[in-house]
Amino acid sequence: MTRTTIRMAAVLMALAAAAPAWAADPPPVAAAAGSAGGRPKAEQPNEKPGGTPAAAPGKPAETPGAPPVAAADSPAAPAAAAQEDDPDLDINYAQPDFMLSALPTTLRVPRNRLTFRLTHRFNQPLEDSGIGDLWGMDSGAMIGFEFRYGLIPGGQLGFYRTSDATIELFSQYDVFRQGGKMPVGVAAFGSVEGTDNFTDKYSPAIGAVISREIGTRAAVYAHPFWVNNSNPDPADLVDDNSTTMIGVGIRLRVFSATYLVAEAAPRVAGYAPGSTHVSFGIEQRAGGHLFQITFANGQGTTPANVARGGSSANNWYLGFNLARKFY
Amino acid sequence: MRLRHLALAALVLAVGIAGAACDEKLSDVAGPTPSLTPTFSSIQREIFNTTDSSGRLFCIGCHTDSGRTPAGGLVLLEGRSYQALVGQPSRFKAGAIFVVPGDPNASYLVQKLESAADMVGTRMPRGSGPYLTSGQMQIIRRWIELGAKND
Repeated sequence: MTRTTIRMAAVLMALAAAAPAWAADPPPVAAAAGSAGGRPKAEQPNEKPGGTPAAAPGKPAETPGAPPVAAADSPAAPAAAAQEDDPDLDINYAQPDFMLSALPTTLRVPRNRLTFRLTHRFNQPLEDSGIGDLWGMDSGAMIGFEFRYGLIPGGQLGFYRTSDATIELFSQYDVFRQGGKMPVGVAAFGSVEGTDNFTDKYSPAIGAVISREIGTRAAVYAHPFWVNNSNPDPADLVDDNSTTMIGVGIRLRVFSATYLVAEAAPRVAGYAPGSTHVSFGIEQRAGGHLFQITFANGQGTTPANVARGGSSANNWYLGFNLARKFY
Repeated sequence: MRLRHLALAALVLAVGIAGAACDEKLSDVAGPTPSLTPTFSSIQREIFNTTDSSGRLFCIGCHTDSGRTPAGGLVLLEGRSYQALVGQPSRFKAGAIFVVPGDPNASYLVQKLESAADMVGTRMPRGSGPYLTSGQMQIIRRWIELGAKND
């Protein structure tokens, strides 16, 4: 029953992967998206206004007003040109990444594009370490890697594995975008994670990611999430087998490419051991990379681990996240 | 357009809902007594009456008054065990109650099965084991937590 249901969930995700064929629609024009998302003019030397990234080294830059190079003789040129105009390719200064620290944002993955993310949470609490062991860096770490793929405009699927052999499969779909009459952006989120390489103790989660971009300087978030089987014991043996939490978060752009990030995930109902998950950090964006140093009261980076909360001993851990967008 | 959005959002939610039936199985915890549940009838059948697949001895071999004096003066035969356990004092430890509904830690039955430091006599089942597994104890504890009903 358990594994069959999980496989059904995987099939559902695969169906979602097949959805682009019938669900795809033409990408919105960059100008409209720019007004919706509050996208700014370029502020970096290698970023140009209008959302088209500057040419990569060794590749000729496009001339404004000139037809794309590929348009001359390739039948695939219109599709390629349309993709290059995809506003999701633009840098969103208020939301430069798909995650805060362990909670998601509403940043969209461009269609048919891939992102990679590496997470580290060092094992030794800061209280038990010092300069002699570089505040826990000499200890081992809970390491995770993630691939995230844009399937359809606003829709993404992802795979995340941590070094305790937990695998999380997740999907996110942008239901509403901020702009016009919509004061916030809303994305639907669903995931299933399983321990022991997805063969044991499955914890599905559903929720919404609600964001409000404040110009190009900040974004604030709310994450109403429900996580099932957050309690590792069978439902027959526990009072609460699920957790309802409402995460809150903020990303503040303090310099042109430097951000402060903070998040917390108070549990409002259900299983709530330990303390409320809290994390804060500082991050630097550099082109398609984003490097974040984070301080958290736990090592959890998946929805079920966030639902289980931070350390009951009020320990704090040093960590970092490294993200790369392949576009 | 809106329908497409709703359909895809529903698909995302379906992924989560589909997984919601993936709870850990009680039988995975119960180990050598896979049918054990946190009910008294199940505990009677799987623990008191039966030697399990690990070799842990059944209880009613000694805790019976059929042809012998029941060990500890405690009879665990079906139909009599509930009245002998719930709210009943131990003969050998003053102030100890075999089962205190809602409080497994205060229940002397649990202390005897887990070998609490201040128990009197030997750990149960008598002998050198095997004893009840932590999963079996978790289920017995849950029955007491839920009020130790005669269910």
